[in-house]
Amino acid sequence: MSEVLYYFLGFSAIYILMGWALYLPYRVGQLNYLIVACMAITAYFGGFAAREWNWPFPVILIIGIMISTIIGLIFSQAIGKAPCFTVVIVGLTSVFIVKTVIENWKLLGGTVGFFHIPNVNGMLIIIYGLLILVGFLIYRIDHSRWGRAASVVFVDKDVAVSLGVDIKKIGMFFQIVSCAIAGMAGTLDAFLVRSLSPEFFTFGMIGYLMCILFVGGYTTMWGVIFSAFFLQGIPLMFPSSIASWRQVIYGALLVLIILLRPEGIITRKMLWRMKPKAYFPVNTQIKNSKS
Amino acid sequence: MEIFIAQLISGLSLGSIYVLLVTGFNLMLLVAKIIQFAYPQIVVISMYTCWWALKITSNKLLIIIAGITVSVALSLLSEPIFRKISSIKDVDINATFIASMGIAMIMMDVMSHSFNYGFPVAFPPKWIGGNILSFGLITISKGQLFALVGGVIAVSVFFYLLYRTNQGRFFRAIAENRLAAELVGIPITKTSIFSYFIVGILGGFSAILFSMLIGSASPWLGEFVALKMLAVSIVAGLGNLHGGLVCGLLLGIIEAIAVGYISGSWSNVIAFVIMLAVILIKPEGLFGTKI
Amino acid sequence: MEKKNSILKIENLSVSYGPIKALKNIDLYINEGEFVSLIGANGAGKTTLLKAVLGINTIERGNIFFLGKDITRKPTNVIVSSGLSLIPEGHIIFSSMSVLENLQLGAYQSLATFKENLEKIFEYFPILQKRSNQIAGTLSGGEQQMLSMGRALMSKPKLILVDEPSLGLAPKIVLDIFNILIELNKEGYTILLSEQNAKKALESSSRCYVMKTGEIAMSGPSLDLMNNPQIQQAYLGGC
Ligand SMILES: Nc1ncnc2c1ncn2[C@@H]1O[C@H](COP(=O)(O)OP(=O)(O)O)[C@@H](O)[C@H]1O
Ligand SMILES: [Mg+2]
Repeated sequence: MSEVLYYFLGFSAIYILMGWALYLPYRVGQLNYLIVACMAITAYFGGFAAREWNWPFPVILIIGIMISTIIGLIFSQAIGKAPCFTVVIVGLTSVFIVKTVIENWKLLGGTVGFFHIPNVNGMLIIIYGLLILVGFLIYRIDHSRWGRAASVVFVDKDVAVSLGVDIKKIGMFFQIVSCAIAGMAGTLDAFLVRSLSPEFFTFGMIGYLMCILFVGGYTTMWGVIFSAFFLQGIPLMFPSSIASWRQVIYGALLVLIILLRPEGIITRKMLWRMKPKAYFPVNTQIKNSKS
Repeated sequence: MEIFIAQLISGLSLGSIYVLLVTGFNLMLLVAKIIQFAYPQIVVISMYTCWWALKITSNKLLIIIAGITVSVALSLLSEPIFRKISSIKDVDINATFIASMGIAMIMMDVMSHSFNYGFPVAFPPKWIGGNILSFGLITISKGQLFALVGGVIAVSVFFYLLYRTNQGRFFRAIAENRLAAELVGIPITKTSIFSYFIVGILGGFSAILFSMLIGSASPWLGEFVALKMLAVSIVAGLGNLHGGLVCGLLLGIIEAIAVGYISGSWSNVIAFVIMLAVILIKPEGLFGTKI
Repeated sequence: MEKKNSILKIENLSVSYGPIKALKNIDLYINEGEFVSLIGANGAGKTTLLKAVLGINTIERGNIFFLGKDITRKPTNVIVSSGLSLIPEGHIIFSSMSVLENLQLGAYQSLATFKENLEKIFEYFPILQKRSNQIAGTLSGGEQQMLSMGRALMSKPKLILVDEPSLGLAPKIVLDIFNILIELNKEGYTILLSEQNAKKALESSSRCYVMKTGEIAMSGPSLDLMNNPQIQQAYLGGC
């Protein structure tokens, strides 16, 4: 397999995981950028544990997920039902703090980066196996009591409270699962790229993830899959003179999608038409009765 | 004691710039009902404008006018986009945040490609001025002193306008109760457009003071400033103008003192850790949310 | 009797909230100097009608004329500056501003006569003068209602629309407010008053419209309606 294809497939899968990690808490209207901090922490942890301590990959993966779950657990105590923008700032500040700590920590390579992470055979297969597993999990969450309750919270918090939904509990649940997925993505990223740089986990990454979620469509889990491949492909499709402007392209896409198709390319209505009765009856009813 | 005075001077001048930024951000939030994430990017572009203008002329007034004009123009240019987004049905304020994030990505990428080949720029001594006070390691430049005086004057003038003029009263009226403002006959759209204008002027002023205080600009500065501006606005309480005044000054002073005792980039982390802790303990802000 | 140059004329007005038809073919007129009341149960559409006149609700069909000019679908601030003022229900004020600032905001269309107007308002509502530097949010409910009325009067309107001024106020204060409205009318202000308190409304007004589920069910001189057995049954508690 060519190197370009290898990384295209690998990165796309990791961004799908991160896109889902962003998608889940947005089910209750929260943009949880803490996932980027979780990703950075677990990536560096994974790389360090493999290179310096020779820990085996499965152990690192499990501990990585545990670390980020604990981070999610602690933060969600405070911001489980905070307004979207508060969650945004908590995430942004955490990302900045983590980045600065990495940059100033000699052991982790500082601003230069962290290299020579050991190779794990069949990484791509492992990544896609886990991707399908996580996809299945999210599908189940979306179609569970939690998913239906989340749809109500997104449309109207007061209605949700009056229906007996515990907003804080549901917000915490989504934040914790989201951080856990980000922990997995971080570990996988370390072993896919086998080198790390603090520059990677920053505002550019957050913008890119926003683009994945909102261009693809935030109302279903499928939009993320589509746009992760699509956006990852953009730099490959164009000559490098244009591809180097990809932040402009992503930014413009983000503005255009909000202006022209606020729910994103793949919407719940679209899937509804394709496959009647399968997608979130609760949400659709409420939306209709309001408009 | 002398060191403390020096820190106080640089803290207050930094703080008053934060106040200008947070106030502009809050004004957008309260009057135009948008989250203007791209505002700090506009400020940085305005700083670049001053840098270019400095190459052509050394007339300070012309340079100041150039900086403010660009800032006002960019702010007004974004107005139709946000007005269009706000008019879309079923779209809330989050959509304006997402779109402004896209705008910020575009601006940042343009800066890192086209402005001075993406390299940071340093302002010449004729702009910053020589040192006028020095206490051992800490020196106070003319620019710093000017930033302090200019910042305090700009903040006072703005708050005077806000509380003592009709236009200011319109802003506060719309912020507090849109329906009542409409009922007393305030032209909402016109006033909202005017708020973009005022925010542009505030941005231009912050750019000029910033360039004098820190003496350099880079494409990544906007991201960093955005983070501070947003964190202060949350710590103070979203939309709380008085809170923003207090917390902006406080952040400037804390940072200046931290610089005195802790080395380089760690001093920034201290400020962010404090703010993160405050947000986690009091998600609605120290002075209460006003939207 | 409708005069040729009525101050407000509503023709065939319909307003909907999505699928809900809130107003159906409303016809209404007000002559200069009149005190007209609009009574009806909760949810009859009184507020919707007043908001439609001010251009706050989107008008589906019909026309509204004010002083002979078509104001249908005009922006609210244009309608207000042409001399129409709404005192909204639930005393909506700028609660973080001082009483004086609230009044200043009401007067910004006619700044030239600000001092004069202010003295007039303080005559009607002496309590506002006493409290003029107090933050409006700290006023009592009745005082807030008076502030809301004072603010509307500051723009020297030619027609005042009052939406349920008695809502949630003590009987004594309700009495005060109705007396002030009657006095204002005597001084030449034209008033349209929306009320659930039908008895009070009929007593103070000269003419009345009765609204029921988005339609005008009945209209006529208040005295006639007061003696109408149907009205007595439905709105005056059968007394
Ligand atoms: N914003 C709104 N959205 C949907 N329906 C509304 C809204 N406001 C009022 N209604 C409906 O319109 C009808 C008339 O309401 P309203 O004008 O407030 O009546 P009133 O003032 O006579 O009590 C009611 O059935 C009410 O439920
Ligand atoms: Mg009503």
